[in-house]
Amino acid sequence: MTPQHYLKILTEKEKREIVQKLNKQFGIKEVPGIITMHGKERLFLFQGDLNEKEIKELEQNVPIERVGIYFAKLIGNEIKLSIDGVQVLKDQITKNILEINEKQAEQWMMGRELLFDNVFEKEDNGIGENNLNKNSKDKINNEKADKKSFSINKLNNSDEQSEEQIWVDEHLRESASPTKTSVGASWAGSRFPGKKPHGFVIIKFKDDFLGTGKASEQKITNFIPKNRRLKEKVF
Amino acid sequence: MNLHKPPTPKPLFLERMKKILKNDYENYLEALKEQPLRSIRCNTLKISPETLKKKLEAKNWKIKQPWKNYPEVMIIKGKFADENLIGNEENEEVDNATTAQKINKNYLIQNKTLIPLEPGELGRALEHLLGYYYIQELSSMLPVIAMNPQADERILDLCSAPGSKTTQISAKIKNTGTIIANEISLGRIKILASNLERCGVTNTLITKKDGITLCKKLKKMNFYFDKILVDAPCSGEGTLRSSPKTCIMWNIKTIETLSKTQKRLFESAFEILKPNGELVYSTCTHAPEENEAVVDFILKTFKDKIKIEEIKLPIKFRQGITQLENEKFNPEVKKCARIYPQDNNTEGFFLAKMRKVK
Repeated sequence: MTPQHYLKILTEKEKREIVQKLNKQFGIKEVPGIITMHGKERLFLFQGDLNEKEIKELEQNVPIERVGIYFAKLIGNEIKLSIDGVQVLKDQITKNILEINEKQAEQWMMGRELLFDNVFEKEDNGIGENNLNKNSKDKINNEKADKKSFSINKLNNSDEQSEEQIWVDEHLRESASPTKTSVGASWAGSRFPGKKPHGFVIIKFKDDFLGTGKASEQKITNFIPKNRRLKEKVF
Repeated sequence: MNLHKPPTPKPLFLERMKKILKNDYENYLEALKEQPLRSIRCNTLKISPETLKKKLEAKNWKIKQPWKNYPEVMIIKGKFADENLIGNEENEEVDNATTAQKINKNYLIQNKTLIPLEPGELGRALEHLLGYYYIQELSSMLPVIAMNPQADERILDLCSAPGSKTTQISAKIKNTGTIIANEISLGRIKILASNLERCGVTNTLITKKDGITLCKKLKKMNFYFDKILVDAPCSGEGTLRSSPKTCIMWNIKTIETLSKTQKRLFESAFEILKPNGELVYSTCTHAPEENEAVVDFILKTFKDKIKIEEIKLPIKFRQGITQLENEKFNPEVKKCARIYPQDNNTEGFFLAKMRKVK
């Protein structure tokens, strides 16, 4: 039986296009290694020392199931890094980092969406608090006390990083939905009002990179695979 | 001593172990009653042992690093219960302490009560989900320690799933060189791939082939390796504590069948070793048919092309046995390492390290 060849190793040009997307979205300047594509969208990264020719020759003789690890997915004109892709390239990520707090990190790792909810403004105006139960209010107060710990400077992992590129969490409110957690957006009180995160963002808690989410008007969609989710609260 | 319900091995298995262990047999039986240690290996591709230890200690886990030269290896002794601080009536020692002692943080830490982790707690922890550590039994870490892989080497892990040793090799060589991780079962490949991803292993190709055919094909391609690990499928006699079902499945005929497969795997793998390359053969069983008999067969097959290397390990081990019933093995098999549960409170294991000299 003739071995089935399905491995597509990206050409230099194709790889350059991927890196450009990664640069535009996350500030990543280079991706060392060979990128292969499975199907039309799943990208794998191999950083071993076999070259393209050796991999092709190997593939012609033995069935190769994987070359390196799944690290990103092409979605339309955008690219989504997997949780492992984020971790492999974390030292280069300088853009679109959303730092979340402990409670949010827990919810995120449980696979829940983070809801943008401009609670910060409403609360300052005395609006919206009536919708919160006592526990939620306590949490808000606790979070307020923690606000200063989420400083922008602390997040910088590159000299080139600007404040615009990071959204600092300032608030948390429990969502009525058991599968969603509200997240107060930093732009409400930041120097850049109206700079909402949009598209794919890197989720970070302290030093831990927790994968990629997709920010839309109201929420950040969670892509943590089921087998990587927390089953229970840990913090 | 942490006791648990001991497995009930079949009489023939016990008879065989008695012959192997002689005076140490009773100690072996006692060791089977002990709870296996909970050990992890820090994934140094993602985090340093020092940082991981701090993170885990912040969760109130008590961590011990048993091997000085391998700080990535950690034993989770248990976790401190928060409520066991000052004032716990059950903890007389703490209650009787002076006020000065009570405000001494170290004193409090020392006197907090240690409780075991809940079942599955190690696997559910955030640090595990993020790939900061791999749950791995201590003796299972030994083949890679014996192999001592170096940066930029080309390495074959012939029976790779679930990936504990592949990820360990990759961490040791810092994602350099290339590892070919082979596995015949698609179901197990999924687990292997998942573990490689979780641990950020980017220098590895996964192949799906029976080990013997794979080696033949690679030989045909002149594709050779600096180091090869043959962690062979085995009867699992060494895993009775963590996998009591092994007792039920144990069968002398299976051992004979496995021994034939192991010989063929070893023989095929040796053919694709570079000159001066090294091969580590390991099993998690005590059966001499699957261990020394396999090594003896290889010595007979390759004669002066092969040399058994001395093994250095961070735990107590015993030399290979040179006789099984009436069959005598090459005295060189003494250089193999036998690991017994009673010596280090680990699972049982067997290791042999060979060098291709011509």
